[in-house]
Amino acid sequence: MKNIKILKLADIVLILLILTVLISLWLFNDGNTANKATVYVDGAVYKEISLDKIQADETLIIGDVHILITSEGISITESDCPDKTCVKSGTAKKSGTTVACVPNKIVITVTKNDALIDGVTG
Amino acid sequence: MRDLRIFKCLILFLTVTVLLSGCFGPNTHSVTYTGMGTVISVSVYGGEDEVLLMISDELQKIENASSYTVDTSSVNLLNAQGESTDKYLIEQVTVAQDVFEKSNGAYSHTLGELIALWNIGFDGARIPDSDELADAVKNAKETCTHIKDGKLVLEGNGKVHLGSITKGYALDKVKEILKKENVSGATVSVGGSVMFYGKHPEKEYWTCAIRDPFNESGYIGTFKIKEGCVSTSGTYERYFEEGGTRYHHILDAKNGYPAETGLESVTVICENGALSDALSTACFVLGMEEGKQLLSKYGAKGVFIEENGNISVWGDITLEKY
Repeated sequence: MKNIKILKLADIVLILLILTVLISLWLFNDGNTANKATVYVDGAVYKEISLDKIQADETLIIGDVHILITSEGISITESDCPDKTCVKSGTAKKSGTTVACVPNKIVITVTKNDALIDGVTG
Repeated sequence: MRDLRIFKCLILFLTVTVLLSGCFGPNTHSVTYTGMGTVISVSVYGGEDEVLLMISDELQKIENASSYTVDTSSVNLLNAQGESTDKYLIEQVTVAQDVFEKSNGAYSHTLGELIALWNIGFDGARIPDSDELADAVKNAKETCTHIKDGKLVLEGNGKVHLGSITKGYALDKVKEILKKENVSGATVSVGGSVMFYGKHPEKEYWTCAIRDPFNESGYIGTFKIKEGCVSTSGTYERYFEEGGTRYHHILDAKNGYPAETGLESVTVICENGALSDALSTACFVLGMEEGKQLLSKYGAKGVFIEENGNISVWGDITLEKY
């Protein structure tokens, strides 16, 4: 009889544990559905920015490349590259958009954890 | 009784594991970097992360073989010596030659001299004078390629330039790696060319967005795709402005000037990457009506966006608003 009681207690503890893990996972995932900008320099992640939580404008300077982060999105405003394709690319805000300065090996992507888009052409 | 307790705990533990694995999905490995003169993005589902290294190695090899701006590339050796046995070149030229023939020369892989004259997208882009253009157009026209006994031969004064096919071709080579390494699903993009490979980790299809040529940070819409390659040629990719006119990089082999066919961009969807890349350029130069005829010859699908904003879909594609 005594053994059976301990068994039930262990069950309850385990069930509670599962519930806690699942709820925390659910909360964690929910927080990740916001648009996130990732700045890559030469293939490595340089900085990650949550675009939905921008309080004040910020300029990120990497070498001669100026990256402006505002509540409107993320853009390259200045660069020493010859063709300035990056500056002309405008502001990225939506998930799946990319702004890149190829000569300086800088890539900025905007992604969402529950992204509906798997790839972009154009 | 103690055995039963252990057994129950084990069952619960397994349940938790299964539930958790459901939350995270299969192993995902993603990487984004610059290469081949553009942005490369690879996401691999259900494979080892060494696959990413194998892919970047292969892309580097393709770039070394195909780049017009690398002096020692196989394509520049071909242009200097008139022949090559490089398999990367032979495979690309095989597809390029076919599109050249079926598009009646609207698509051409021998425009090296012309492209170098304009130099659009690089330092010192300019409008060449008409004599220079006429010479380059003539040279390109009088140049042809043959493949015989595993050897690629270039005849004429024109130069081979594979810029309108290499990115798509790279997708085909990546596909070979993904197959060999038993990857269950992957998306690979090299510039505006994207490959959707295998199974989506959660859905029955992949979703592809087409960039809005009038607003580069937006999309004109999305469509569903099971597997295949998608490429886009647009005026907005590479261009320069002079005297209020925009000169884009998609050149018309007939007169040597940027192609003016009333189109802003063309997206082509088909199984083969090299083909999707070459066909998007060919369709842009041909214009919408002739472009659609060309797509029919290959069983390919397309989305044409005109300068006036009209969108025309060719083939079994449903564009959805994003």
